[in-house]
Amino acid sequence: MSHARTGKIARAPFEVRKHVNEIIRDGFPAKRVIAYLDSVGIHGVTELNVSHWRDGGYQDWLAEQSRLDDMAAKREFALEIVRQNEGSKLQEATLHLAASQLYEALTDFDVAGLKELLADKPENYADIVNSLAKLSKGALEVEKYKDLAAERVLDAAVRKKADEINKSDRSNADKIAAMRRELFRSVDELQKSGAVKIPKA
Amino acid sequence: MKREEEIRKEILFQLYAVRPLALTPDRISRDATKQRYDYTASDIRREAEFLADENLIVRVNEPGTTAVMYRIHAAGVRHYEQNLAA
Repeated sequence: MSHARTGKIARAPFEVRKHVNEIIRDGFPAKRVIAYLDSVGIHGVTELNVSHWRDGGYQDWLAEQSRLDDMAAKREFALEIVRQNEGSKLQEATLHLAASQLYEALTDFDVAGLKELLADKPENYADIVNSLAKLSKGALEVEKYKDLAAERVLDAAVRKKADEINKSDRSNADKIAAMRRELFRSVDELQKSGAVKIPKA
Repeated sequence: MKREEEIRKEILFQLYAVRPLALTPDRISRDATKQRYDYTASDIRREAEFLADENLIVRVNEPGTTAVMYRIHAAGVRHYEQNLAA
């Protein structure tokens, strides 16, 4: 949208516009919108005003919601992984920063497809989360893990590799496995060498 | 709406969508490109600094790097909802 809308509904407060859009989305007629607007003190709106809004502002809202939902899903995925990993050990600000970095690293992934895959094969989710959860137990191990994981996540080369994996023709399951190898190879090597003992979940 | 205002709107939209997470200018630029905007990371950085000076967003230093990320401030959320949201 390259200009601000100036119609009667467009000038209503954010929460009111949001509710109007929800009424329209739920399939209610214009009269229902007008009745709602009347109830919040916005009078004089006609069915034509609602019709114009349905063709304009409402369409903008639908497009915006689609994008918001997509980004929110990725945000929740990043937050979920960090929370599963670190639980309540981190301050909120640190957790958000870790999730921000994870979001940056993972955001080009097809989260919807990943969620679908994980819904079909929950053992894959358990594998990812358990790998993180195991590593989060034990103070020394956690510190070493965090340093390594942060180093890996921050590593530009890993991000480049993540892009390559994402754009490859592999299945989602293979992509997840490849990402895990990229992100936690150092941890796995340390574990194998015995330098770090990772408690069982 | 002028180009710089469009860029600021896109920045606020993305930071609003992922709040309370922070994003780098590069990330914002890449997502904007997917929406067929031609905003470079440099454009984003410049306008993000403007928004930070207006206290609508805050700078966050990414640990371990010199990169700066941005996170939306409560005032930015209000500004977005009142003036920019569809």
